[in-house]
Amino acid sequence: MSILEILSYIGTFILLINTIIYSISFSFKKEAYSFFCVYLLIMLIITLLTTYYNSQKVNNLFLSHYYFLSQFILLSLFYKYVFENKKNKLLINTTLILIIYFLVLQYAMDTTLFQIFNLTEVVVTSLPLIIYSIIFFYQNLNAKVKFIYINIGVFMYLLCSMLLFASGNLMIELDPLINKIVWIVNASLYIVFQILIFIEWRKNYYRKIPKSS
Amino acid sequence: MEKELLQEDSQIIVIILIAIMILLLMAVALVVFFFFSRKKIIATELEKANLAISYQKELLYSTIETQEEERKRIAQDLHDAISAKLNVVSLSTHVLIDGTLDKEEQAQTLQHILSVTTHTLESSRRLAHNLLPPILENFGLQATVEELCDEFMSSKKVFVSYDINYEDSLSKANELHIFRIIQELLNNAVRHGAAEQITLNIQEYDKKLQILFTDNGRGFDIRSIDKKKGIGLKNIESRVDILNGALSYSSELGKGTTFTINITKT
Repeated sequence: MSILEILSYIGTFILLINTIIYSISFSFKKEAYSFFCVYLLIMLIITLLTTYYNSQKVNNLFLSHYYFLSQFILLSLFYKYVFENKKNKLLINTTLILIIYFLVLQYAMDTTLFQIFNLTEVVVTSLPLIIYSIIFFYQNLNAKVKFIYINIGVFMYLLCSMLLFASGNLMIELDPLINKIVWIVNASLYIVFQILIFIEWRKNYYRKIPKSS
Repeated sequence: MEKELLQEDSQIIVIILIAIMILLLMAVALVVFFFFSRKKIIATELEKANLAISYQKELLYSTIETQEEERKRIAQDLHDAISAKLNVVSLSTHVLIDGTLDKEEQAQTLQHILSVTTHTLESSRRLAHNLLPPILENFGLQATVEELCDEFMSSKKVFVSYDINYEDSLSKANELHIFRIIQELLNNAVRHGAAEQITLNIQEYDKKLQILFTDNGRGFDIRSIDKKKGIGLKNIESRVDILNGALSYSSELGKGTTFTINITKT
């Protein structure tokens, strides 16, 4: 097993744990939390599918589009409910609709984009989320609030992975031996992201699990 | 040829890796910056809250202190003006009951009792009046303030010239605050400032009430008063606060004092 595979498995394993522990206190009343739970679940499914297709030696690149789009939609909804400011909510709604509309239009016009890393898609689905996380940082300068660790994770991971995935098409053309280094970096960052999500749960939700006696 | 290509490939990878490192560094810097700023901002806010709490505490202490002083004054007044006089009445009555006095002495004692009771009645009336002038309930602020000024003038030590233009536009509770403020100002001017001339001007505009108070007393040093305010001044400040008004004062040693209070009517 290569280092990349080990790191990927570790990342997926923490993701699995996070999905389970977050689902325990799932509630429809806590919208932001629920959307984050769904996000974790979808990410887990996509990661498992990627691994499965990879083991079957099938090209799994098309899954990246589901990954980016579902990440964008679910995290946008997550931030929409985290923000209390009506202007921010409106900004998120508008961005969400405009970008989905744009992507649908783009794929309708050029279906071959589905077979490669779509550079525009990577940028337009990651950049808004990074901006939301910065807004979140700014708005919570004077208070200790929930979701701060998730926000740090989203900010750091998306910022770096945006560049990684944006250069994805270039990587495929390069020697697979060398481009592995970049994917190792990505896998490591993903582990950090998942650990931050775990810390968030540990700090804010650990004690809220109803004890079954 | 293949080696060259490989070298080119690795260069691109290195560039991408460096770019990622820089991004990561910037992200970490921003997160660290966020945490430090938050720490600082929360500390400042805490300090502000503590300051507000200590101000409230100070206010509470001075309120209690004022209350105690007022109680002491009332106790003193009750003792001097009423208890002592009633003692005299009680003693005289005992003498009368004993029946050792002749008719003329009896008449004299009765006369004495009557005069003492009349005085005591007058004193108790004045005491009650000082605590809460009934005239404020019945005739409003303007009459009460005018009466207060006249009372001060009747001591012959001070001349109060007043011009009051007020038409019952505030609630009774707020009128009482204004009355107390003016009472405190007059007391301070006479007791601490030894003023001889006082001007009181109360004017009502559209949505504003302005109180202008000037005396020719000893005055005080504004800079030192800021650090250590007397209970009287603190009292005035809190009452102006309750009225949602603005208080400003100017004074110089030996040159009297001017107080301006602006109250916005709601």
